[in-house]
Amino acid sequence: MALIEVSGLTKSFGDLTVLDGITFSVNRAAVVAIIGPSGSGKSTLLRCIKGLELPTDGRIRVGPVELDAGRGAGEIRRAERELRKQSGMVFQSFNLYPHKTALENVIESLLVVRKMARAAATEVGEDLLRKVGLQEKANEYPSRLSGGQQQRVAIARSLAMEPSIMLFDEPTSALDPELVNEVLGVIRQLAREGTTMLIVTHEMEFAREVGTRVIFMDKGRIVEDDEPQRFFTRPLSERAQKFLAQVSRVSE
Amino acid sequence: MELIAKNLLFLLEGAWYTLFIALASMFFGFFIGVGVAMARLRGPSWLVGLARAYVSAIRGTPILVQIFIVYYGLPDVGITFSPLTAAVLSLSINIGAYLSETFRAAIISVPRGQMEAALSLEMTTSQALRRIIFPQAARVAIPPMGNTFIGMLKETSLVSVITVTELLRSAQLLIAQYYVVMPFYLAIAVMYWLMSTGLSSALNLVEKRLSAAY
Repeated sequence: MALIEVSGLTKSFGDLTVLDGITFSVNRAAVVAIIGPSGSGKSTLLRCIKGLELPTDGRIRVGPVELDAGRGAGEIRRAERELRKQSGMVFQSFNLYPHKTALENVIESLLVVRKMARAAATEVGEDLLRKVGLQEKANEYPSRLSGGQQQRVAIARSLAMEPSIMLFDEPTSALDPELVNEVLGVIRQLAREGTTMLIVTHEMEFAREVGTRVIFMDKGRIVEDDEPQRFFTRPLSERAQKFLAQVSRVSE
Repeated sequence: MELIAKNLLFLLEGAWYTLFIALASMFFGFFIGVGVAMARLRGPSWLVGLARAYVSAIRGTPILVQIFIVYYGLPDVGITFSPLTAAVLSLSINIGAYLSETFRAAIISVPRGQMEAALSLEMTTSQALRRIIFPQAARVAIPPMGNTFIGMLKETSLVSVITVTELLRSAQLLIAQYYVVMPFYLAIAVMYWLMSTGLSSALNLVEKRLSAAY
C-alpha cells in the first residue's frame, strides 16, 4: 500500500485557488522531486501533507492517518495533529530556535513531547548531529552557524522525531551557492538509506540525480508525473518544456 | 537637614509604601498584561473586543481619574476598598493595559516560522508558546517593560490623593507639621531618584543576562 495518498486535494485562500484537485500517491522509499514555477502550489501541497495547512476539499492519507476535509471540525483538528506526527518538515528559512543551541534544538521535542530523559535525548541528539557532520557544533547557537550548517541542524532536528517521511520545502533556496552542496549531501545520504522524501526544489540537477520520480506542477495542478530521466530529457507538456528551457537559461 | 534626620524613619516608611505599591502593581499588572495580550492574539472575537475596550479605556483616561473611580466611585455601588488596596488595584489595572500592548508587540515580533517549526515537531500550541515563543518575546519586551516599571514607580505618588501614606504624602504631612517645605521635597526627590536608578540597574542586569544567551 502506498505510504502517502492524496486525492482531490483543493486549497483556496479566499478567491485564490492554490491547489486545484491534486491526486497522487507515494510509495515507501520513493524520493519525489516537486518542481514548477513559483506560485504553482508546491509549498502549499507540502504544508497540507504536513498538517500545517488545512485543505479546503479532498483527502490526505499519510501512513495510518487520514484527514478528510469533508468531516466535522473536531475530527479534522484531531487528524491535523496526528498528521503532523507522520512527517518531518524542513523549511526554506531553517526556523531553528535562536535561543537554543544546535543540540538543544535537536532534542527539544524529545524532552518536551516525548518526555525522554535528558541523558538519553542528548545521546540521540549527538548521534544525529554526527550524522549531519556537525558534532563539534553541538553547543553553538544558530546565530554562530552558517546557513548550510543551520539547515543541517534543522534536518537532524526533524529526524529526531523519527518521522515516516521527510518533507523538504526548498531546503537550499535561502543558501549561498557554495553552501548548497553540504545540505544536498545530507539529503542524498537519506535517499541512500531509503527514506521516503518529498522535496520541493529548484535544483534541477539534484532532482534528476536523487529523485526516483518528478512531479511538475503549474497553477495548482500536477501537469507531469514521471521518471526523472524521461521528464528531463523529453518533457511531454508544453508548459514543462518552457519551464525547463527558462531554468536552464538562468543556470548558464 | 536636622529635620530630615529626625524624621528619616517616617520618610523611610513612606518610601517603603511607595516601593511596596510599585512592586505589587508591577506583579499583578504583569499577569494582567500577559492575559490581555494573549486574549487579543488568540482569544475568541468577543474576548478580543473586550480586551481592546479595556486597553482603550485605560490608555484614554487619566490615571488620577481611574484612581478616583476605584476609591471614591465604587463605594457608590457597594464596593469599598481600603486606600492601599484601591491604590494597588487601580495601578495594576493601569499598568496591565500598557504592558499588554508591549507584550502583544513582542509576541508578534517572533517570526511565524518559529510556531510552525514547533508545531511541526509535535509540540502543542501551549508548549510552543511557553518553550519557544515567550522566551524570544521576553527579550524584546524587557526594555520597554522596564520603562513602564520605572514610570510606575513615580506614578505611585498619585495615590497620595487617596490618603495612602506613601513617600509624597509622608513629606506633605511633615510639611504641614513643621511649616518647612523645601528640605522635605528635596529629600523625597532624592529617595525617588535612588529607587528608580536602583530599579533601572536591576532591569539592566536582567536584560544583559537575557541577551548574553544568544
